[in-house]
Amino acid sequence: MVDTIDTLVEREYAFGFHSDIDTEIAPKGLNEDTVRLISAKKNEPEWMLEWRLGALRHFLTLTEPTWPRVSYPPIDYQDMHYWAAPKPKGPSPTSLDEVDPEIRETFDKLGISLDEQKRLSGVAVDAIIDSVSVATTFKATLAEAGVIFCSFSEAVQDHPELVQKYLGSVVGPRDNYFAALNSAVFSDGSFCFVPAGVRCPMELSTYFRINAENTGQFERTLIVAEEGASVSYLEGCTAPMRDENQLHAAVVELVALDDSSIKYSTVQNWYPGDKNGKGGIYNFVTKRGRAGNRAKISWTQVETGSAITWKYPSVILQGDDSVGEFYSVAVTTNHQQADTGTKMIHIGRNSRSTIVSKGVSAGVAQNSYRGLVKVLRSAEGARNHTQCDSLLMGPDCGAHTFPYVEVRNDTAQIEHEASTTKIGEDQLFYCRQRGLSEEDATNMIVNGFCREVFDELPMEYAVEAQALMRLTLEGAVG
Amino acid sequence: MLSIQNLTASVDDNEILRGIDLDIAPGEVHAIMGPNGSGKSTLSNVLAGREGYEVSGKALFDGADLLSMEPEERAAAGLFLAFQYPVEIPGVGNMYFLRTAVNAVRAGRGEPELSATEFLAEAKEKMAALDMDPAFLSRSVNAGFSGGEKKRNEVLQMSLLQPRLAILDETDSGLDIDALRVVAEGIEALRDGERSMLLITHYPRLLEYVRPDTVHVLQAGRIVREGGPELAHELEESGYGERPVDDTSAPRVSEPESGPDDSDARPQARSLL
Amino acid sequence: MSSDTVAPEVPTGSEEGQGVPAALEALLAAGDRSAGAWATEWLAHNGLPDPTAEMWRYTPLDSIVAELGRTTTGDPTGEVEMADLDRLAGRHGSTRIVFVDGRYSSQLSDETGRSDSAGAGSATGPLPPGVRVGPLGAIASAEGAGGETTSDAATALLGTWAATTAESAGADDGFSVLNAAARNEAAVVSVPAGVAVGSPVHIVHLRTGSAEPSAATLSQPATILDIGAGASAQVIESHVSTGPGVTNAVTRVRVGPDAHLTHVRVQDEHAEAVHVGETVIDLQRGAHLESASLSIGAQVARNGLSVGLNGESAVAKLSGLSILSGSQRHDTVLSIDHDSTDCRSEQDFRSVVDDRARSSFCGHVRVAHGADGTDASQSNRNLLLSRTAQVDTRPWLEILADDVKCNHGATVGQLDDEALFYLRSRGVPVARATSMLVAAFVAEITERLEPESLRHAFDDAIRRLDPDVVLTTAAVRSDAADTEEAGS
Repeated sequence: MVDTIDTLVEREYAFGFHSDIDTEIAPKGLNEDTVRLISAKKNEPEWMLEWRLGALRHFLTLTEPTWPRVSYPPIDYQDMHYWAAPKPKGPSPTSLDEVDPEIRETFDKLGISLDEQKRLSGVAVDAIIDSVSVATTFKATLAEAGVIFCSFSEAVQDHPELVQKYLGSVVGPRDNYFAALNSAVFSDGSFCFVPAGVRCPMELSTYFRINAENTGQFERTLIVAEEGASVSYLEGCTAPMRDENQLHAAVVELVALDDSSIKYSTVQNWYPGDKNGKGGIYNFVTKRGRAGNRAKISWTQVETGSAITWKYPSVILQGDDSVGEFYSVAVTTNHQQADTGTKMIHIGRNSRSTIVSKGVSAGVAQNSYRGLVKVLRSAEGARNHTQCDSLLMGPDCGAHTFPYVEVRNDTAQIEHEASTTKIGEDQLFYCRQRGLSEEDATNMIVNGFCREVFDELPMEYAVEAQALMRLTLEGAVG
Repeated sequence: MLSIQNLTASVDDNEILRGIDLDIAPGEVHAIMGPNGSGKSTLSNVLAGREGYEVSGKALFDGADLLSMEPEERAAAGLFLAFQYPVEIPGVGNMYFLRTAVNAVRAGRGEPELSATEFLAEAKEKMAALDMDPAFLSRSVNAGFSGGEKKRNEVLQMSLLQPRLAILDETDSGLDIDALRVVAEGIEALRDGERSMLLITHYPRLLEYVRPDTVHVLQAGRIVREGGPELAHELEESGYGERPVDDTSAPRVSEPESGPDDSDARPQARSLL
Repeated sequence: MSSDTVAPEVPTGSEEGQGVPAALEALLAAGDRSAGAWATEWLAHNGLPDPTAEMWRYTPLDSIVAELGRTTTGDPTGEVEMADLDRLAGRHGSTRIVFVDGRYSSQLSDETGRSDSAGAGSATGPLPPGVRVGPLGAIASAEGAGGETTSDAATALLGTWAATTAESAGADDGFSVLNAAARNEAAVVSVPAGVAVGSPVHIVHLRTGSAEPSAATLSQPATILDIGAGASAQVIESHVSTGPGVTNAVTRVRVGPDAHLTHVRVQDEHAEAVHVGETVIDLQRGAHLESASLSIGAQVARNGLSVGLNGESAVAKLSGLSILSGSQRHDTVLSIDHDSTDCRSEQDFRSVVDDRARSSFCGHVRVAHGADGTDASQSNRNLLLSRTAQVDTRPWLEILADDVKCNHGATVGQLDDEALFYLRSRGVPVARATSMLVAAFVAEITERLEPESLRHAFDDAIRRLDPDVVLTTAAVRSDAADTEEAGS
């Protein structure tokens, strides 16, 4: 078993290359000048700048939260770049063909083709390197259906009324420490608007890539589904291997108006650091959605990367009969730390939520589920079922479960179940007796353990997620 | 005794019973047979007053409007349902439960309550007939009972409560041949020419022990055939599926996807205790 | 002591709240400064727990502190009649020792076991030789010349307790330290190695009301249980009171190697009282603990219980029950530490919450690195009986070993629809069916209690619930006589 764990810690991060792209970078430091510079670079209207400055001023009054069960040396927020962008070679590309070949190649290496013709799956991609969106595919097709899918910067320019209406409506600029930071310095991200009654004709996807050094990435995603609309969205992320930790503090806001549905899937594979815990991304993310009457918000996440993950994709179940779901697989190996879970805030009558969390821990990693289920007095007939399972692979890792349940309505039915076990020796033995290698058997068992969550992913990503799991756990038989 | 007219029931716009007509006279034993998902358990639940169904039509029990009565009022009036899946109630002693039920029903009939001693004597006698260990009484209601024990407990309750109409919902399911015989004898013993029974079953084997006066075939929420006991044998040989039964009245509808039987179509009730 | 060092963040917003630091200071001044010096000093630096501290998150600290402020104005009367004592605390064993307002009452106590016990079925007569039951001081001085005696262990235990509290008291331990500062006489049960105590020992801590009925009194009782290697005992610890005020109780327990302790803690205080209890239990190799925490009385109560499974193969079976109505607020905070291999812990905690009451629960199971073979299960079930009742629960697991089997479950909700329908279909009216199910829910905890007299402690609490919920637990389990007869 020790051997196999050694194999595990020696695994290579497959996406750790660094691309040689000319980069334009803002000076280090977090202050009003930085914020003004970012806003000016993006040619933002005055209201956007004021919004950022308000967030910055509030951020400066806050102290960093210490309640997550993670530990890391103090972050020097002044010793960091807050904006980096691939330097345009000449005028900005007017079509995908004009995208810098280096960037194209970067995404090709990641398996994300920016070429619409080659893309058979019918998935529209917004590709973001460091702070800037470099390409969005299938825009025209989407526009025909009335769907707006573009970078956040473009949205500020082209659809200011929508941005102004919804930005900060779910995660306010003062929401928490990292959300305030993001609100002040966010650089780009994806914007998606699906008008009333429209079922988005294809999967939408954003691919995030950190490339530059010493740079924080602060993207902001806003998805609005009007009445009766529906959309499925997926984000993926990778970063080069570097010895320094890099901060990624994103905010995702989902607005699901009455009768709409938003499915948001994440395959998070930021660089996790090396086997000694050196380097890796600090992934401190705020994700939240608000669901109107009969609306449904479903979060699915497969978290395999990052040195530290701190995120709680949540749903405010404001409308009657609204539905919130959270399906999560979090895998930590080596020195990775994850403190992740969800909040389901039941406000509407007959609102329902489901939480399925699967944590896998190996090496000396620490993996915590932290969740809140809150039923307000108005939430007549609210229902929640939470299933929270942890799998331990090795004697030196940790798996923790910190649920909070607060119930203020007696017609609510809340059930929370959790279990923590080591990977079943009898299961392993059974598989091996049938001829599977120890590694295949482990993979099979871990995949089975996570099956419920993978099933929630869009088909092709489910395959990708399983491949990623296999890679992450390579050799982690225990 | 029981007169059902055009009874329909649906859950979440899914119509399960599509107009049932059925008359059971005093002393008669009727059997309802049908494939999984045909609405058998729904019929028994609706008659016993389980909440969560949208019900229309009429069901008269001795002339009284059954559908407007609370479950306990139906019980007091003499209607008994032997559950397909008897409910486990940890913490409530079987003895206490049975005595409370018997006395509640007796009170409904204007009879005096049984004292603990009287009740115990009667319970022991009935238990002996069903081959049940008296230690049963000191356990919690159905908690930890085997499938067969639960079914015996249902029949024991029936014999203690002395209903006027007993509906037995798949009481034969999950029993081995010996247990089936004991349970069937228990049921047969309660046949007295006055008491009516409605046996709901998927398999004809119970009907070899408890011979019905009339057999009804329920399919897709409607009674599609009626006949004497011989119909049960016929079904055993030919099954429910292929026979083009009365095809004008029985349009093929897709059965609910769920479950081995239609009990899954009932409203979700969550168990907390 | 400056006002900003003691519970600075208490968000009471009420006038009472303002008097808190002063009140604490007065309390400390009233204590024996020389004996409790370390505690006084500690409190001056650390104060009472911060309401934002995780383990105090749902404890109504503001109400507790406000009531503590009021206690300086009311002195306990210290007067109790035997009949009142029996009514309040019951007699749950032949040996009963009674502490009134933190002081031992020899008149009300029966240290050695009544030979004419009325308790049917329970073993009676004097305690086995070597077993010491009574106030710590008396036990220590009586045996001062005796050399190697059993109470040495208890004395050592007290010493350890005091010393470790001074050095290792955490930010959350303000109430325990406040108790230590008061230096009241501890109630001791000390059982030497290998001795089995056949009948229960009942410890009663009674706080008397003030002569001025609207004023609040303060009592800070302490209890030490020391069960030697291979010994066994059952101890019932009752906390009762005759008027408003604060009881701040601390219990320290050591269960030696292969020893067996059944510990029942009953909190049934005056309806306006505030109760803060902290029980710390050390389980050594092969020790076996059965613990029941029953929280019935008091307006505001916190029941803290920490169990350390410190030796291999120790077993802790913990259960608890809160029955709340009116505007009661009870918080149960458990901390289970698996620090050794092959230990097992089980938790079954329940609450029934009616009216505007609020019940909160935290079960924090920690499994240390290397504590292989751990088996930990936890269940917290909450029954809400009214629109305005509230429940918070935190079933937590923190696991640093891999060869473990841990699970937990928590539910909040109403009675089971299925069971209710089943009962009604058998003719049981809905109100009676409801009360049967509530009583059954409660009985699953209480039926394990011995002696049986303990089970009746809940009948009053259940009667305070909805008018239709009037059945007693004994009734719903059917009369013992019925059942026995049936089984014979």
